[in-house]
Amino acid sequence: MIFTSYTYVVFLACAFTLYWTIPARHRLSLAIALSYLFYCSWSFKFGFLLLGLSLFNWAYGRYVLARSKEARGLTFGILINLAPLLYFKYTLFLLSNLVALVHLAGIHWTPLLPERYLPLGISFFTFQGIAYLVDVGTGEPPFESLRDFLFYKAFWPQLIAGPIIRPGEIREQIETERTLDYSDLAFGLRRIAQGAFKKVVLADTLAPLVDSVFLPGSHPAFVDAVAAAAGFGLQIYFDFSAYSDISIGTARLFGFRFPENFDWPYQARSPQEFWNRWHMTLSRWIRDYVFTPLSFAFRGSRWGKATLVAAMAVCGLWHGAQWTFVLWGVWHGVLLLLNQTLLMPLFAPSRKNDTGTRLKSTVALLVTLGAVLLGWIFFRANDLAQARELFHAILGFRGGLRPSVLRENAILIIGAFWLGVFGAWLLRGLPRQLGLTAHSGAAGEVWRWAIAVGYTLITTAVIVFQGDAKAFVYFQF
Amino acid sequence: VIDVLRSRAFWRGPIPRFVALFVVANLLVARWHGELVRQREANLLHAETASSGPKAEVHFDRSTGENASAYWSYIPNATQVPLVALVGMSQTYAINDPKPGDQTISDWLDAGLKPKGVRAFGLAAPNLNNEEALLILLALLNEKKTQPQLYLYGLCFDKFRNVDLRPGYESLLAKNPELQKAWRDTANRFAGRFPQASEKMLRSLEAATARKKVEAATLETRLRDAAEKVSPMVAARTDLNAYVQGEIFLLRNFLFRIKPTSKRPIIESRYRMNRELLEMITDTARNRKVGVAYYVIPLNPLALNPYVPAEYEAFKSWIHDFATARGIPFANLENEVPSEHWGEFMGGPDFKHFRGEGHRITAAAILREFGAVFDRLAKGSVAP
Repeated sequence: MIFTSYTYVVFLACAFTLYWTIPARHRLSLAIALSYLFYCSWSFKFGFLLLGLSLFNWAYGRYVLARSKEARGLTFGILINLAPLLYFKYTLFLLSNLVALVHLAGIHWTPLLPERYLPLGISFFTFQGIAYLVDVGTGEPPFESLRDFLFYKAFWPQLIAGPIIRPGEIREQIETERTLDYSDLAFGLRRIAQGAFKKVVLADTLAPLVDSVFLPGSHPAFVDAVAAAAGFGLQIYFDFSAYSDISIGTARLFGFRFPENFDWPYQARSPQEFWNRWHMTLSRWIRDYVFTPLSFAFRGSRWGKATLVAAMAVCGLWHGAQWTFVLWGVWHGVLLLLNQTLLMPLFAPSRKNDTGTRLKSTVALLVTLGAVLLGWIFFRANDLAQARELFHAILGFRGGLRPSVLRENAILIIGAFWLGVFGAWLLRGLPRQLGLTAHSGAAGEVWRWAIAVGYTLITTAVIVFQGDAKAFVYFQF
Repeated sequence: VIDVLRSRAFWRGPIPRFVALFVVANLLVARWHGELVRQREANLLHAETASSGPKAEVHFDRSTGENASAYWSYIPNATQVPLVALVGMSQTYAINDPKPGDQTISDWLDAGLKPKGVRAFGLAAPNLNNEEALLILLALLNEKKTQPQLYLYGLCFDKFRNVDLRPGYESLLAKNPELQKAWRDTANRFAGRFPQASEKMLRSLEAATARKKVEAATLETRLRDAAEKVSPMVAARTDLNAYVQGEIFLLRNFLFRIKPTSKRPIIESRYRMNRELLEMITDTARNRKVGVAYYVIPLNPLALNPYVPAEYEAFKSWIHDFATARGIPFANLENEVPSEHWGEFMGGPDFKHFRGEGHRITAAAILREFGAVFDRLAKGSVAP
């Protein structure tokens, strides 16, 4: 059940009506049942995996970790959570690398490599489970109620692709009785419409253009490779932030406030700022549960700085069991390292507002944007050879400004989308500055009509552009 | 929820205004779409109109690739009579300034061949590329009744800039498992010689399979069908999408001052893939004992065209050499249709589409240039 499908619209409408109609004490139970229905609409059997892990984490957190603070206990709990992820997601990767190593040693060994079907959202609910056990193991009180915990684990808006929510962020919301007010309803619907527009109209329009450059065997020129990197940067932003928008909007319709996951990431003026704006809930997960323990372990060692690169490599590997993802993580690790060392003078924020500072800030923005977009080549490439091919095209200025794969229209579309992003960025505060967002008087009336017209156009565009409901990019993780 | 709906904030906010505007927008779309359907019914290029007419009068796929399978039954039975499949782009069927009695190349060709006991049928679509031309060939080969004796393809240089199957052909592939198998086998057979084209074919198959899943009678399709009944906007979404794309195309032309004569250099990777696909078409047809014949389409001698002259010359030289080396009947009909028979497009002379007389002249040129091939077919021999 894709968020941008008619099925989801009907599911959401029914769930919303039922949820607010039944007595408050049954609402969480209903939401759990609906969440499992939502998850099992993809694969019934993996619902048991989710349920099994949830039961384990709840019981282990409540009856083991809450009573004993031994590190071994926590390690065991984490390993149990990691086991399905390793089995389903990384077996093939580990085995194929082992085979390659064995071949390098001159031994002929070709085992039958298993193809596994990846349970949807496994990377997300595994990370959520680990975070819960670590938090409980380090002093956070566990969920007392199994029902509350099952809801925390399975609530469908965040189940498949986040935001990765920590217990502290939702516990109080679960435990208190929720009500629906107009602002929640308006906010939820607005975010859902925005998300649908980003996904259906923007991301899905860019996808085939980008795909044509990443077709195996294509021989992209400089302009194709640059357009593909820029296009994919936008595609994945629109795609993933669309999912987050619909997730946050849906949760709000049921009275829950989720943390934001994106904050205009391509506005970042340093790699560090980028990670404070991109997939924010994952960034803080990596920071708190990978980077911080690693940097403590290597505190004072000359390898201390390398922990950043290692943490980002883990982040890359989490995205996919391929060396391209690992390299993408390493790329960002190195950028973050440069941010803290060699390029600190460029990336350090400044409060001054003189011409020199503004110029430096613009250069920092362009360097960050360029580096992030180049990094997407690793992320999107089918394999290392293809990533190398695209870098070769860019660095060698192959074919100059004449495309070899993309039609001129495709390059125009990608350029127009980037202009749109910059335009939206520059204009987003304008209505407020002009006093158009007033709640009363003639200006308020004009503003309300303007919003209504805007959302009518957005809805129309979603209907007109919706061909087949395509899966979100992050579903594969 | 009821409290929210009763609240002053709700009624003063944008939501009721949005609902009102959305209803109005749906009514406007219903009116626009009704008019569009009426125009289509008046237009001969409409599948439903054609299928209700007499069978013998249909000599080409009038859905122009949008609903090709609806026209399969009109193809003369190749087990009873030698069949020529005429494949090409919009020039094959589009008539500028049409007059009553005007006929297309396919109509003229069929009329010219019929006395010899040979039949012709046109399978063309706007901007047809070689991946689609290969699909048409494999679809024809899929049944004995439609397996032609000659696959006659009108080559247009700028179509070598295009790749991908349009939704109509994707749907044709998606509906037919045997065709899918033939498509996959062909891709795999040529994977060593033409890896890029082969990979592209497999991707197209993936897309077609995904389309099949979407078109299958699932809960999602049932809900969408239900939504179509309630909202005219949902019902008209495909036409609205085409309209929006057309407007974006015009906006692009306006902003960048693009005219039909603006030079459009080849796109190397696409050009190479299309050449590979043409070789696949040739080999696939011959493996199945189907003859192939190619011609370079006529162009308006007075109109400036968007081709880079050196690239166009290189293309003609390549196709000539390729045909000669492989013994393929080939003709360059570039200068065949005099300037007075061409129409206008976007305020200037149309360099690719002619009036009714142009169709007759082109068909006559085909009959003349490939006369020997048609004679062999008439005698029951296999075309080269």
